[in-house]
Amino acid sequence: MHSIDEFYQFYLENFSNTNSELYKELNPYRQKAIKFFLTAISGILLAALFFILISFYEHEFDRFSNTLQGLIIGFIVLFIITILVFLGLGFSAAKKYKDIFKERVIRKIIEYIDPNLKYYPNKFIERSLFTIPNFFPNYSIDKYEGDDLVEGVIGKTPIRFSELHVQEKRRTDKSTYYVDIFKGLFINVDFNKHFKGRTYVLPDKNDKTYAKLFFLGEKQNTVYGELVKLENPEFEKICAVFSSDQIEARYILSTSLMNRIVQFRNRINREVFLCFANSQIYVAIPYKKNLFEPKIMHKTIKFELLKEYYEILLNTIGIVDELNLNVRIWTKE
Amino acid sequence: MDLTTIIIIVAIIFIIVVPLMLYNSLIRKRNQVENVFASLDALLKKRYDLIPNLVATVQNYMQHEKETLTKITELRTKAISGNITPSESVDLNNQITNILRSIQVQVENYPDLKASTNFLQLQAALNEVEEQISAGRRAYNAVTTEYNTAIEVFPSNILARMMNFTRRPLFEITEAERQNVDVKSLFKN
Repeated sequence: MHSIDEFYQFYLENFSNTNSELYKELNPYRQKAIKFFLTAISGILLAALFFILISFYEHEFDRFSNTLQGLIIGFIVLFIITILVFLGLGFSAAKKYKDIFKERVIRKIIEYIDPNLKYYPNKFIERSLFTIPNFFPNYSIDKYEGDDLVEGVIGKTPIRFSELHVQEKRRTDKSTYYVDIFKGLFINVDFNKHFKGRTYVLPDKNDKTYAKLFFLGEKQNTVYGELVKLENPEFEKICAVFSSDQIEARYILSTSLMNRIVQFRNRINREVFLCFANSQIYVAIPYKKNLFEPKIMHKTIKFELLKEYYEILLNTIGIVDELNLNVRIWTKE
Repeated sequence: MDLTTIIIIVAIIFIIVVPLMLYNSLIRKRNQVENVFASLDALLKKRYDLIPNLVATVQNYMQHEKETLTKITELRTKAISGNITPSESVDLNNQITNILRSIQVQVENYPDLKASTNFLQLQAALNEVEEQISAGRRAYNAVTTEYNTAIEVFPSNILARMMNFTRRPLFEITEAERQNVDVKSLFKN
């Protein structure tokens, strides 16, 4: 793995020179997008001004002849259509800019981390895979989107991850809207041991407390399985473990794996949802913002932005080493 | 209904319901301990089944280690004979663990053996079952601690004493496991 200093060198060589091929490709779309957006915005402002004027002189407007009224309305419609066209052109230029950014910048960073990894900017983890761990059983999925799929083999361990945005539709009397079920990174990694059941390591928010609240603490079954109390206090403080099998949960969560999960969790400083099922690990890490996207208003690609993406990628791919998944001393090859 | 009647009714319900719940909770905990112990037993059996295979694979190569191999076969026979107490079983299994570990160390002296696929598969299977056994012990200790606490704290301890529930021993880590691996001693012979 490269250090941040090395990555800074890599950035200087590849992405900082504004006269490079990369910028020659990016800049026309950036300028176009900004131009179209600015025109559309000025158009909207102009239209707003016009409507205010009309509302002041409404009674004057009524006195105009029918032809003149028709002409004015026609002009307004035409004006709105023009604004929409400009907005559309702006979005299409921005999309093109984003495509080039992902193809030329994000792809290069991923190759820099590990040349064996494949990157598909427009693909994402299939819905059928996302639903295997069923992390969020109380929601129904109505909208399933994503991008930035990365896949490959690190050492002996296959890994796949992508950004996902999963939503549920809600209805009120007046409108329908979407609420987020999950937005962030979803990761699927092969686990190095065989097992049959299902074990969850969830952020300890309410589930454990709910489970413990039941009288005398024995009815500790949840949708995720039976509560498992483990002996690592630091781990227990941040995670709640549920499993279909008490012994298997401990077989998976060896003392060292528990420490490793704590370290991983502390380092990325985010909630982590882990599910062990089918001898695989499914990990969901929520992020509020859209990852691996360019900032079109910036004239040059900022190091801070790429550093952030680089660290997220390193942490994600680093799961394999962090959880020591390349150790294959058990029967699973 | 006046207040006294209500209080009396509540008190009666309380007197009946609370011990019932405590009783159920104790039984559930005891069953959990027994359940985990049975699963652990199944894992130990799995290891007993691997031992003859290991001995068969290893004995052609390890001519100098005949004694160790005879010892482990003996221990296995004793362990599966059935008429042993749980504490004897724990003791036997600790010995088996130690011998298996020493065999894995001695293998280092036999490069041919180390390279044989048969042995590598067996080693992986043994590693797996060892790790499962260790998970089983941790599970056993967790439920046993819960059970032991329940029979010692007030008020369930009163009930536990009436039901003749006694503390159960935890699986202790053997002396050999507790010590850090002494790399130097491995290279002495």
